[in-house]
Amino acid sequence: MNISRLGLAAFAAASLSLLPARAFDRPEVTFKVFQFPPNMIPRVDGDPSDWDIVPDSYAVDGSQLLDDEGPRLPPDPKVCDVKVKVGWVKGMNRLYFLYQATKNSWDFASTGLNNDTFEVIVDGDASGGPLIDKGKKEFWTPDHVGASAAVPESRISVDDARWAIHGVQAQNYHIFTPAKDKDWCMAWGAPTWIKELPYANAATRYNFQPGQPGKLVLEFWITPFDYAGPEGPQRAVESVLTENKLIGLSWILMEYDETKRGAHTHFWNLSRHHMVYGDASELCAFRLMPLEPQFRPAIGAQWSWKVVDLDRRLVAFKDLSVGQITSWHWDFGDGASSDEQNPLHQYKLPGNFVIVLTVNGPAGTAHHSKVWDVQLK
Amino acid sequence: MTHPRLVLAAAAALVFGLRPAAALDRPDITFKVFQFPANQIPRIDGDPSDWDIVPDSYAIDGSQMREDGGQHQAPDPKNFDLKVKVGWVKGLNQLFFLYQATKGRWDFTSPTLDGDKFELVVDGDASGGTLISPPRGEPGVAHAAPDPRLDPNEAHWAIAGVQAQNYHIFTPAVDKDWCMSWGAPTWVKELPYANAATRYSFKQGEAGHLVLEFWITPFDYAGAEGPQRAVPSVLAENKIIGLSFAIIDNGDQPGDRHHFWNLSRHHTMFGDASLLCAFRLMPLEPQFLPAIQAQWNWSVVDMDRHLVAFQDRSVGQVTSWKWTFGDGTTSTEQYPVHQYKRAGNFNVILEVEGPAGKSRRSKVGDVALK
Repeated sequence: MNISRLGLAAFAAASLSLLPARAFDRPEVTFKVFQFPPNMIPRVDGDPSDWDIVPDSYAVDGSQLLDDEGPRLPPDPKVCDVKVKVGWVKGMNRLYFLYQATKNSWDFASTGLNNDTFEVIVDGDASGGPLIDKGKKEFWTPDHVGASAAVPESRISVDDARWAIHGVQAQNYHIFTPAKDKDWCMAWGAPTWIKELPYANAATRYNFQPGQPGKLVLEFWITPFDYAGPEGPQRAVESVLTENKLIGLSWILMEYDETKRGAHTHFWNLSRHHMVYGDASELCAFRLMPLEPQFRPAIGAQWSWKVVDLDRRLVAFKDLSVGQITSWHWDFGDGASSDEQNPLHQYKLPGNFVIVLTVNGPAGTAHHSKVWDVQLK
Repeated sequence: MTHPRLVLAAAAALVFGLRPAAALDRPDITFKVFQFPANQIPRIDGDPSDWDIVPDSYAIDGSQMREDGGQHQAPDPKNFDLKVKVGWVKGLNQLFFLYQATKGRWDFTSPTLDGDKFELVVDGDASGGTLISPPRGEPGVAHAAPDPRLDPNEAHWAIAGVQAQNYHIFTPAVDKDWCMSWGAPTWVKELPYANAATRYSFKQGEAGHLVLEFWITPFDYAGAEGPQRAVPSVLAENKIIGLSFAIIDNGDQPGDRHHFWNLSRHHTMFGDASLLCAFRLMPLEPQFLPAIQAQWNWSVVDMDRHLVAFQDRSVGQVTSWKWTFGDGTTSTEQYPVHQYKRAGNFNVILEVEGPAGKSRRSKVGDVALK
């Protein structure tokens, strides 16, 4: 019995090892997403000066990329000098990007996909898994997705399968660098509406013609979705962006050459897996960072509340103050007060209350009041 | 036979005449909401320079306001000089505001509702009606007599701020949230629904200049429980929305009776969305429009038959259209309906021509059929 169990376990381990491990690519590096203060959200206008406040430690340059359709080398900065910064804002489910690149040739004359491309793949809840349709046979192989997933399900049409999978639980944007006479990107898969306002916005600045060298600035925001169906936003579920959360994210610089139609000349990839374009389990880990210290006050009072039981008018207060704090004082607006950090208070009467939290610490004193937010019936 | 009918009609007219007509206040004037291009959306940082592109014809100054607590006069610009601009962005359900004011005395240190305020009332679908609840209402706000079977607190949560919103914005807010969103949905004042920034350099009781920049999201329905059941108002070009604001000004001397400078001619606009002014969501000003630019969208009419309707959305004077459907066929209609023979993703290109030249727009693989 024991032996056969061991044998079964070994067989299972061998089978499972065919599947990619449930982890982000490049475990040695966690890229950082800069948190913009709400009064410094970048304006998407092609002017990168809004991003000057983002420290260099957040920049991802060409040295992080490898060409995985040729010699596995990063781009020569003389040929392609690229820098990407990613940002977010606490309270908004948007990712902001700044892409700046100087190249010796830009190809963007075609109306189709043959266009220098900044391909971004994002998985807001890091749930992983395939994100492109089963028509891509080079992707749906037993080695890559496992034996059963590689077999086409004959009872489901390829088109139906595409609309259930492609871009639905993670999204792939082919962003044209630059887009001339076309939409700013192709949102690859079922939900094509995600590239429009209010879910996305983009602006570019450049001063070159197709085939010429020059510098391009691309600024954009996207909204990652945990679920985005082909029918539009009505059933869609935005990814919730919160401080310190890890998201799956990667990008590829796909280079074209007008003289070699249809073929990439380079495929500079941030992930070490070529097929990251279709597999969210091969994305890199990006952390939604807290505010950098220079954007935080030395002490600031802030709080939230939750009605625990409306019938008993029981309210839980939560301290969200920033800085080092040694004492708290809550004025509940009904004559009662508390010195706890996270008090629970029961009101005797219905009404609208003015509540003030006062905090003290080495840096001084701070107050925060909310007028009539706490309402009880 | 006709006489009693006439009498009845006249009586009905008299009865209904007691209620405000179902029209917005100040029918003589339609205020304008400036459309920002998507690449010039104002950054909410308290720096008004993003708004320099907004023409003066959009600015609302103190001459439009009336002190409706007393003499019905406009503020004297020597004591109180103010200017408000309102903006929107096609595709975003947000209203952007710039409020700039110079005043002889600013009062803002109370942690309560007291102090100088910019009170904003917005009704995104101009549906009108009461937006504050009877038990906490103010004299003069029209509403039905409270039904004794309804708990006044329940009524408050069904009415107050739900179908139109009232923001008491503290000018400036110190040691408190930037505003009180009056009524049931207090969450409407937080990101991503709202954002605000102010700049000023005066202290309590001093004279000075304040810049307040903010956006809000108007809601056709916003309940107390949070955004999960809420319905943002859809902002579309040329739509009329109900909007008004009042400046609650604590006066030049401590203890002065406060002023209520109102854009509406009805004091109780703060609780009755039928008394708001009309604001029109304007098209882009001509200087932000290209002379010619191809643009289009599409909708699938019948997926089973692969039937797709294409809509021209090009800008500028266009005299000819050419659609390349990506399956080998073309059309020169402005609004073609095309039937594809097979499923797939198609690259569709619209080329337009006019006196200003040519333009084309492709969408790569957006038209997806199964």
